[in-house]
Amino acid sequence: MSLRDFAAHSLAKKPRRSNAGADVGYNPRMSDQEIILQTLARVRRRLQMGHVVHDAIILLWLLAVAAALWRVLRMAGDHAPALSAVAILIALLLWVGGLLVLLRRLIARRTSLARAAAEVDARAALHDELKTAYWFIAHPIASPWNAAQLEHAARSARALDVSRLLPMRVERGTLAASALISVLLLALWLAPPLTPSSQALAEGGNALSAAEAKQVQLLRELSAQLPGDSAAAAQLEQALTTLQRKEASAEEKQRALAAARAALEQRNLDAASTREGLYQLAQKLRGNEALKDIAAALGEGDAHKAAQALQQMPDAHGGKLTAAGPAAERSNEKDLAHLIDQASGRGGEEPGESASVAAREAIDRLNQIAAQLDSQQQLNQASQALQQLQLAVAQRSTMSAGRFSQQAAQNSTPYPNSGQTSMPGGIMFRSAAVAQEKRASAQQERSKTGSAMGDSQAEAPLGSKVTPLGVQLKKEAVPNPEPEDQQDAAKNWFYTESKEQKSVVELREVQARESFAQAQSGAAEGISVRHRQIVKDYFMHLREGKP
Amino acid sequence: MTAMTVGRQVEQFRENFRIVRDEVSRIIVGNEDNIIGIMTCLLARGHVLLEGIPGIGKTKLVQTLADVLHLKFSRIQFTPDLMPGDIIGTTIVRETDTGRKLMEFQPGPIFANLVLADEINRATPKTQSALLEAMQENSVSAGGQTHPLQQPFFVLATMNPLEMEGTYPLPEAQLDRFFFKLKLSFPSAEGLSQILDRTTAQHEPKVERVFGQGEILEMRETARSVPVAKPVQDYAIRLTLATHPESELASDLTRRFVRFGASPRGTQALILGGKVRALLAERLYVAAEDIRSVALDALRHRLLLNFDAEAERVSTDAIVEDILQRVPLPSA
Repeated sequence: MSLRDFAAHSLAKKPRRSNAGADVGYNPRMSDQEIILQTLARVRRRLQMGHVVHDAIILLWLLAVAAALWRVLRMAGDHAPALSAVAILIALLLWVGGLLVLLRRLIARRTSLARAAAEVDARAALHDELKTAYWFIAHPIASPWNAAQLEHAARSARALDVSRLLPMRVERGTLAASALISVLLLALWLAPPLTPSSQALAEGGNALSAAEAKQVQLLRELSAQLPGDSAAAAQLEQALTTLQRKEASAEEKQRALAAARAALEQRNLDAASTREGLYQLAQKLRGNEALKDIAAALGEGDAHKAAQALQQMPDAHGGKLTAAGPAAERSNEKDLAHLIDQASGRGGEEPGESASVAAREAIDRLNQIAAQLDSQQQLNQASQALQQLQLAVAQRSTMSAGRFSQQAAQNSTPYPNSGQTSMPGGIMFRSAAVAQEKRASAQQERSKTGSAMGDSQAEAPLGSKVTPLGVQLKKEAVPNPEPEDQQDAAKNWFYTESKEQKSVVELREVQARESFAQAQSGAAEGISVRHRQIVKDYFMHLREGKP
Repeated sequence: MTAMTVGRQVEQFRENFRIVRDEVSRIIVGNEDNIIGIMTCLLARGHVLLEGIPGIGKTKLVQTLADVLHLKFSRIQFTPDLMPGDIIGTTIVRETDTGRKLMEFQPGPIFANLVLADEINRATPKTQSALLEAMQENSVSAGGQTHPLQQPFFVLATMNPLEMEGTYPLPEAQLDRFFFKLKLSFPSAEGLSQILDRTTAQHEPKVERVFGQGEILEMRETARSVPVAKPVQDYAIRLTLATHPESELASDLTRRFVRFGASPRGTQALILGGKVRALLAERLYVAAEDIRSVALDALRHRLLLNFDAEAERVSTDAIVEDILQRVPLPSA
C-alpha cells in the first residue's frame, strides 16, 4: 500500500472529516502548501466569525443583565433606597468588570494560521498533522520526508469540510443561558410593581376606599357631638369637606387633616388644663370639712359628682337654689373656688340669696366643665380616626420615605384623662397623669412624655453642678494713678478668683484634710502617721531598767 | 528520494514491525506493549531494562526476539562473583603452529547482537559498569585495544524487584544508560491459560527467523529520518524540564518528591521513541501524542526520588503521569 493509499485509508477512518464539500474552491494546479494555507485561512475566517458571534452574545448578555438589574432596582428601589444605592453600585461595578473582561479577551485574542491549524487538528482528530505541516511551510527544509508530510497534510486539508467542522451555531449552554435571561427579563417586565406607580397613585389617589369612607362617616358623627361653635369642630368639618373633594390633591388633604388634628389636640390641651385646675381646686378645698365631698370629687376629676355634691349641700343655699340670672353672668369671671366658698358660706357674707346664686353659678360652671370633659372622649376618638386617615392618605402619596415618617410621627399630646400618648409605633402609657400620687421628678416626667421623634425638652446634663466661669472669676481692676488715655485704662484689669469660688475651694481643702486625717487614723493599729514613729521609737528603746 | 519512496519506506517499516510482533506473539502471551517497547528501543538504538517478578517470561521474551530477528544472541547470568572479563572477554596467550606465542583477545559474551543481562543487579558495580560502558560506547577496550561491537548491539537487562538480598542496585547514572525501563506485569487468567496451552503440550510452538541485521539497520535509518516540528520538540523539552524540581514547569508533586529530574538522554529517548511510534501510527511526522505514548517508559527510571517519596510510597510512574496531565500540549 502506497502512502497515497494509506493516506486515503486513514482519512476514511476519521469520523469527523467529511468528503462532502471536499475539493471545493481548490484549484487543481495549487501546490500542497497553497492548499494547506488556503484551508487554514478559511478556518481562521470561520473562527473569527465564531468569535464575533460569541462576543456579540456576551455583549447582549451584559445588556440584558443591565436591563434586568435596572428593572429589579426600580421595583425594589422605593422600599429600600439605601440598599438600592449599594445594589446600583455593585451592579455597576460588575457590569463594568464584565465589559473589561470582554475587551481584554478581544484584545488578547490571536487568530493566527497556526492557531487555526491547532483548532482543526483538535476538531478533526488529525493528530497535529496540519500544525506540523504549517510549521514545515513556515520553516522549509528540503527533505523528502517533509514533502511527503506536506502532501499527506494537503490531502487531509482537501478532505476537510470547514463549514461542518466549524459550524456557525450557538452552543447549547449559551442558548440555555440566553433563554434563561430572556425569561427573567420577560418575568421582570410583566411582574406587577411592589409599590403602586405614580400614575396609579394619581388615578386612584382621589377615590376613598370603603374603610376610609367609614372613618369619614364616624368623624362626621363625632363632629356633630362636638360643640358647634368650637374651632375644632370647624376645622374638622373643613378637613372632611376637603377629604371628600375629588379634585383635592393628596398634599391638600394632608394639610387639612393636620390642621383638624391640631385643633383637636388644642381642645385636648384645654381639657387637660381644666382637669389640672380641678385638681388644684380640690387641693385648696381639702382643708374645709364641709366641702370634703366636693374636694374628693374634684380630686378624682369628676365635675358632675362635684356639682351634685354642691347641690346636695344644705348649708350652701338654705335648701333652695335661685336661678342664675344677670348676677350670675356678671360673676362669670369669678374664680370657681371663690364661688364654692361663697356657696358654702365661707365667703364672709351671710348665707342667703347671694350664697344661693353663687352655688347655682358654681354648679353651672361645674356642669359646663363636666360636659367639656365628657366631650374629650369623642375628641380622642376623632383624633385617632384622623390619625388613621392621615396615615392612609400619606401612604398613597408620592412623598419620600423620610418625609412620610416625619409626617406620620407627629408629637402627640398625651390624653388628659389617661395620660396615654398615641404614637405611630404604639401607645406610651403614662401612669398617674393627673398627679394623684406623688409627682415624679421633672427629669422622669420629660422622659416619659417625650416623643419618639425626640421633640421633648433636652435632659439636664448628669453629673456635678458646673458653676459658670462668671461666678468663679471676677475682674480685678488695677488702679492707675495717671492713666494716659482711656484705652490704657481699660486694659488695667485681670481675672481673679471670686469670693464664692475662694470659699468653695477653702471648704474643699478643709474637707480633704479631714478625710485624710480620718483615713490615716483609721489605718493599722489606729495610730496616725504623725505619731507612728514616736510609738515605734518608744518600743525600740524600751529597756528593762532598774526599778 | 521522493515522497513516494518515503511512503514505501514507511510501509516496509510497518510491515517488518508487524511480522516481528506477530512472530514473538506466537510464543509470548500478552505483553503486547512490552514487545512494542523492546522493538522501539531496538530501532531507536537504545537498550532496555526489564523489571518483573521471576517466571513471567522475561528471558523467554528476549530469546524469542533473538530467534525471530536472526541475530547473534548471548545470555549472561549476572552473579556476585562475575568479573568484567567474564563479560567483555580477556586476552589470552595462544601458541601458534610454529610454536610462537601470541597475545590474543578472546571476546566475551558481550560480542553479540542481542545480549541478555539476566538479573543485572546481582553483579558487583565493577562488573555492571563494564557492561554499561560497552552499552554507551558500543565498543570494548581490552589489552590496550578497542574492539567495536557489532551492530545492531542491543542489551536487554532484567531486574527482579523482589529479592533485594545480596544485590547491588544500579546507580542512577547507570540507569540513565537504558533507553526504556519496561515493567512486565503478571498475566491475567486468560493469559495464564494460553501459556499453559502453549508450554505443556507435546509440541511447543516454534518461531521463524523473519529477517536479519540488515533489515534492522534499515529500519533504524527509517526511524531516524522522521521529522519533528519545533512545537513538538518543545513539548518534549517541557516534559523533561517538568521533572526537575527547581524548574518553573515543575508541578507540586515534582517539587515535593523528586530530588533530580531526567537527563538530556531522557529527552532524546522521548524524541527517538516518538519517531518510532509515529511510524507505527502511519504518520510521517512526530505528534505530541507519540511523545506522550513513550513518556512513561522513557522517564520512569530517570527520576531520582527523595526520602519523602520513599516514605509515602510515591512511584515515579505517578509523578510522570502527573506531569503528562499538567504540561500543556503544543497549541500552535
